[in-house]
Amino acid sequence: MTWKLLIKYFFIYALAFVSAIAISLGLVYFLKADPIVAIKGAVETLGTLHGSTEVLTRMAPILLVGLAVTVAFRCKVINLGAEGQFWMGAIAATGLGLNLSLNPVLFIPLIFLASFMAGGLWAAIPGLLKAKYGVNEMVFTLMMTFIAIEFGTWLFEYPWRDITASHSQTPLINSSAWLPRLIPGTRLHAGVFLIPISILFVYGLLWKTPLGYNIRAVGISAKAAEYAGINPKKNIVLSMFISGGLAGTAGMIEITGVFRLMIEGISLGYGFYAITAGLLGKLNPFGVALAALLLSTISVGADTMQRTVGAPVYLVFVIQSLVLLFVILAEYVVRRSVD
Amino acid sequence: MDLWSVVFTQEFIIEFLRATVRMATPILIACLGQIFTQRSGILNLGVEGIMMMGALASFVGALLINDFAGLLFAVLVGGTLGLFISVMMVNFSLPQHVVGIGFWMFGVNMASFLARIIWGFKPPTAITGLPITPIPILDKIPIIGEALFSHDIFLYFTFFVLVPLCWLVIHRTRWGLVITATGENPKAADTMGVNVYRVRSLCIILGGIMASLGGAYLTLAYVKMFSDGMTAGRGWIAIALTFFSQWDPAKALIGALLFGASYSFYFRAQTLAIPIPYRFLLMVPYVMTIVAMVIIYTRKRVVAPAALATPYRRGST
Repeated sequence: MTWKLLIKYFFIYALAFVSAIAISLGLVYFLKADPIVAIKGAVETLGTLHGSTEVLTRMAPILLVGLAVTVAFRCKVINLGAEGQFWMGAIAATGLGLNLSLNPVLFIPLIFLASFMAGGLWAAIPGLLKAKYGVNEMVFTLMMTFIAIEFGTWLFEYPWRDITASHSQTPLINSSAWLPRLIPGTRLHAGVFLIPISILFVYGLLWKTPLGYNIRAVGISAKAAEYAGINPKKNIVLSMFISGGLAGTAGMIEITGVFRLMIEGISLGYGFYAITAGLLGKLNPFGVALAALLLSTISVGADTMQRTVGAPVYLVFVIQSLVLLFVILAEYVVRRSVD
Repeated sequence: MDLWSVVFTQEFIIEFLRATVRMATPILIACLGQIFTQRSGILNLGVEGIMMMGALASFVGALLINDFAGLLFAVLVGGTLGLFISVMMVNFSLPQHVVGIGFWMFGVNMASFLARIIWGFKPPTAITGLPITPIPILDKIPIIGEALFSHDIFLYFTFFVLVPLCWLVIHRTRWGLVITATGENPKAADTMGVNVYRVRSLCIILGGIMASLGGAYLTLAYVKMFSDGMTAGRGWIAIALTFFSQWDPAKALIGALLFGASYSFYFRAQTLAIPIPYRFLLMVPYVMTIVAMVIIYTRKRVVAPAALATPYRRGST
């Protein structure tokens, strides 16, 4: 790829982002609020310690779900259920955190493992049925997501509910399960160390191991892979398991690092972010990391913008959806210019 | 309170059946549209968003003019969103799941956002909504008459006109065959002189209009107001129902009634404080769809459109 082309792509994508944000600011104007104040508030907050740590804190789960879909998409399995796998991971973490208390050195890895397994197995079910019978995984994973959310909601509304709280939520999980906060007064927690670890893990897995090679081979052509002696079915299930596991881990760090209890709204729509991050990052772990950083910046910025001008919270999601739609349109423009 | 003594009273049964058909209607309308869309090979995951925009549009129409204008507004909004989606999915052949998810997120949040811009925090509640028009004679049948034949015209139209009409179009006309062929093997259809792009675009727009009308039913006939997130996942249920029904309008009718029954029971159980974990009742449609999907796909002859969710580009393999 020449530099000229690269610069051209950069401008196309930049234009997409600018358009999405410009339309959003136009919407702010219709609220009879000042768009300039909104954008100024957003930029200023991002410069503060609180804002920048919040970007990192939010980047971690977005990156994990983005990497989750990357692993699955690389095997040509379209996992739209990252949200549900996130919930299963969160449920596993909360369940352990409420009922057990061990030495953190032992306990946190145990919770990590349990959340990975919970998310992974939840994703492996549609993976297995896709591999064996070709069941449409997009709709299947979505159905699994709704079931997981209803299940999780039932848990914090009934069996795990903190009866002293005014609305449905669980009590705080045992402090031995808490991921330590790195900077006092902010929400930045030890889960952010998963950012470099997970990038390297997925990169290493996909490009430096036989399993990753097989997964990618099946993704390019299941038939060709089978001729070469690779079992497509096994690799589809495995890629879904790892994918779900990564999403489950995102649920775990949100529970043990950020919320420390289970409540409505533990997910900011990560199933949705996953798709944007995977798309924007071109299914490359480093690309996904950049995309996650960008998305979390926009997310924090949109949050502040919404609060500064007193806009309804829906504004944040409108901005996010416009970003997704404009990015995919940019994709089209890029593809046209290649053809 | 004993569960069975509550369930087997006449009032309970009448109310349960009444609510079942009313709950089934919006899902059924949206699903009928998706049957066409998916049969043409397009998986549109934006149904929930379109439904929400349709709900808002019909409310605005009903407030400004009347219920009929509400329906018209919904058709316009659904058609426009469908047009945008079709351009992105068909003309630009972009990945359908991304476009669909984008429009879901956009529609649901944009509708609530627009409502805030128009009315501030509290939308007015001043629409009368569609009146109940009992069908003469039939409504005198004990229990069933009250439960099934005293509803609004929109509901009758869906059950007694739309379902048979869609069934006939799909199974007994050339159009139905063309749509099915487009979703089964677009290349072959193209070779036979079918304009694959146009068929798919029209099916997406039709699906958009129907989804929007499903949302309009909720505002005009069901809750008679607009509130944030009022579709509450019904768009996703409609997509689930499309798979559950194996892309057949007649089976969609049965499925819609089953899904409607589980919703209806959910609300009855909640008001009567029947000791059942409600959240599990909400899972029923999803679990049923999963079971149905496994059955559909494990059969020898898979009925799913072979090219579902695969963009078609002339000249590429």
